[in-house]
Amino acid sequence: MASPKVAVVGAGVIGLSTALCITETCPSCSVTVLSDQFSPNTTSDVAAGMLIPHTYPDTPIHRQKQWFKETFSYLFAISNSAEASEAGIHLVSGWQVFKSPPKEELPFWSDIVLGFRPMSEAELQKFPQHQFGQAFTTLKCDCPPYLLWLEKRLKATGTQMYTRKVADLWELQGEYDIVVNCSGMGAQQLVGDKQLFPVRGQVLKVHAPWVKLFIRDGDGLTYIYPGVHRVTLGGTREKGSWSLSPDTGTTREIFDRCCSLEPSLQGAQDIEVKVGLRPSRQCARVQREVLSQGGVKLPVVHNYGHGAGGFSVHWGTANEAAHLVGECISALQGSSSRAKL
Amino acid sequence: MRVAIIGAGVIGLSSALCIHEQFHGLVPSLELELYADHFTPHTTSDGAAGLWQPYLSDHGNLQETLWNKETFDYLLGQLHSPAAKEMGLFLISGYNLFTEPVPDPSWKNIVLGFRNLTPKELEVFPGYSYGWFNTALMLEGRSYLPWLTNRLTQKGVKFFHKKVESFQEVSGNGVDVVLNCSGMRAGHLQPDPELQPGRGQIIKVLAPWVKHFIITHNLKSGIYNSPYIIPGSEFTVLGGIYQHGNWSEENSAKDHKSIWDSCCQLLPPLQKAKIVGEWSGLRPARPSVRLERESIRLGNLQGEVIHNYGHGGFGITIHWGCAMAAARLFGSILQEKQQLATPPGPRL
Repeated sequence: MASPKVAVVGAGVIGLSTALCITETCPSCSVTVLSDQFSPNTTSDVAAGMLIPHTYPDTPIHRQKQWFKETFSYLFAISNSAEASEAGIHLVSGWQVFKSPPKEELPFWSDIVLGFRPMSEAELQKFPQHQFGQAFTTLKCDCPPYLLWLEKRLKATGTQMYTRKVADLWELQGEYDIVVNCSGMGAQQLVGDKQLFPVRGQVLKVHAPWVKLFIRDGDGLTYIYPGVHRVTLGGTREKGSWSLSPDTGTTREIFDRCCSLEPSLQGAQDIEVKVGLRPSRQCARVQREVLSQGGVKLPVVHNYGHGAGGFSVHWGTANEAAHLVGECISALQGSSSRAKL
Repeated sequence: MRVAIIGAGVIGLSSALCIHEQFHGLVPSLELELYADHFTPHTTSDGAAGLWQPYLSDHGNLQETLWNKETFDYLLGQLHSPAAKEMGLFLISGYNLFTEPVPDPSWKNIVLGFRNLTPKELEVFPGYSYGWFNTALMLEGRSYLPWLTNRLTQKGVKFFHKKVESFQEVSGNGVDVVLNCSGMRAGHLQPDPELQPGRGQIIKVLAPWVKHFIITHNLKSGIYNSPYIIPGSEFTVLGGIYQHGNWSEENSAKDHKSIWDSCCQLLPPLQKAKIVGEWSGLRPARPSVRLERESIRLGNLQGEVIHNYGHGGFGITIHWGCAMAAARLFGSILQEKQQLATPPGPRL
């Protein structure tokens, strides 16, 4: 197989990073990205892009840790280069505060982020309703800049990108040798995955350039994440809700919760409300499958279901998916050589 | 009781405010008038990035360390007040970098979360093998000075735009106390060979992705002669110039290149930052801050001058502690003039 044709379905952070990884691990591949939405209209564009992992209940911790570590290293290198501002990647320090003792004193990722330590008494005084806290420095990937930068890098490799709604993976058989399914929430319809469910998140993006530190409540519901131009205030985690319309009551409520953590936010301007559906699953699905229909086979690599943790593990899962694509190619080459006998 | 304040930088304005807050209720006739040739945004304080951080060593000057602490604690207390944004006050974290291990600074327990840098953090800064991380405060002069001015105006303080040539000039007509907060130009009012300019130059850039201050130190070249990057609310300040004895307030192309090259080397993403301004100013440097009373002959009368100048590159860092100390000196003057209500008693 001289030049395997790979279709990547989905152009959020998972689709674009996976496509990029494939071009790097398989330079002879011809990669095409197909998606009904591109930045700034993907789920990724709503996310703050903070590298603070979400724990998948059914994925072994060592695998999640590996994903996070690879993602952190990769972004860390960019954050310190001349590309950092274009890619929207920057270091940010701050605090995670808890009203009651956290389940784990040391999360699995504490040695991957920088300078992780418990907050001092003096620091906790800023949060009278919270008794414990963790201080650390991590990375933030601002969207849309990060997605646009990935698109730019993909174009430079000759990767084509098309707006196209794929209703069925079999549509692509014949045109493409391998399909990589990075359809996020769309996988529910596309491959009928009933284990995938939306967790609705509403956020506010505000102008508050004096906010230089992140603050996150350990319950995951209230957070303040300063980005390049805007600060993301969050949020909600509404399991099973499919609504993409902003709710004004929720907006007020998020704003109030964030102001109680950071009173200066009362002076925030230009409040923009956004909603995204986290494509959630008990474990992110990074897996090979060979679909079969009437004697025809279609190799598929799935890379979806990252829920709240997409940015945190994207490069690690992209690497793994690219590796699986390599396995698909070997399998195809193996069977095609057998066919020649 | 009339008080004349000379100087409208952070020292003059805050000293005036502190005195008014403490004494206007106790001295009904208290009138403050402020004289300056430069007002915000044209003062030395306006050029400073506004980061609260003292020098590395206090040289045994515990008084100054205490004033620094009083300032930090006061500002921290203001952080959650509705005025914080208008004051230009906010929290900021960042790095101090060294090429060799150094003793911990006098302010390690004043700032929040002070700790040494981990090896992984030091990877971000090739060439530096040791450092600190801590969370401190920013107090931007561009916002703080107008806020102080507004507070003073509300309290009826009168402002006069004039270059004062002598203490006598402001102390005629019943001014009892002069507060000398003239910063770099104090030597014009009264010669002080210990007061010397510490010339600085800074480049202002747009680099909103920078969320930490980064201050490098070169123990041989001395304070501020090594690149530093301080992100503000609107732009980021690049600096690293300290020229003792240089009175020029003109921007130098050579210094520009030195700042730009060294800051871009320190933080490569800055190569893409857009330059939006440049500024030079003179830090009013002195071996120690001059904060003391002096009785001065003013025509036929004796007058009192309270000196409060010579804060070098740490004016914002130390200002409130000094303002309170100046207010205490004012209090002792009032005591002596028996202006403060004291119970009448037999004079022996």
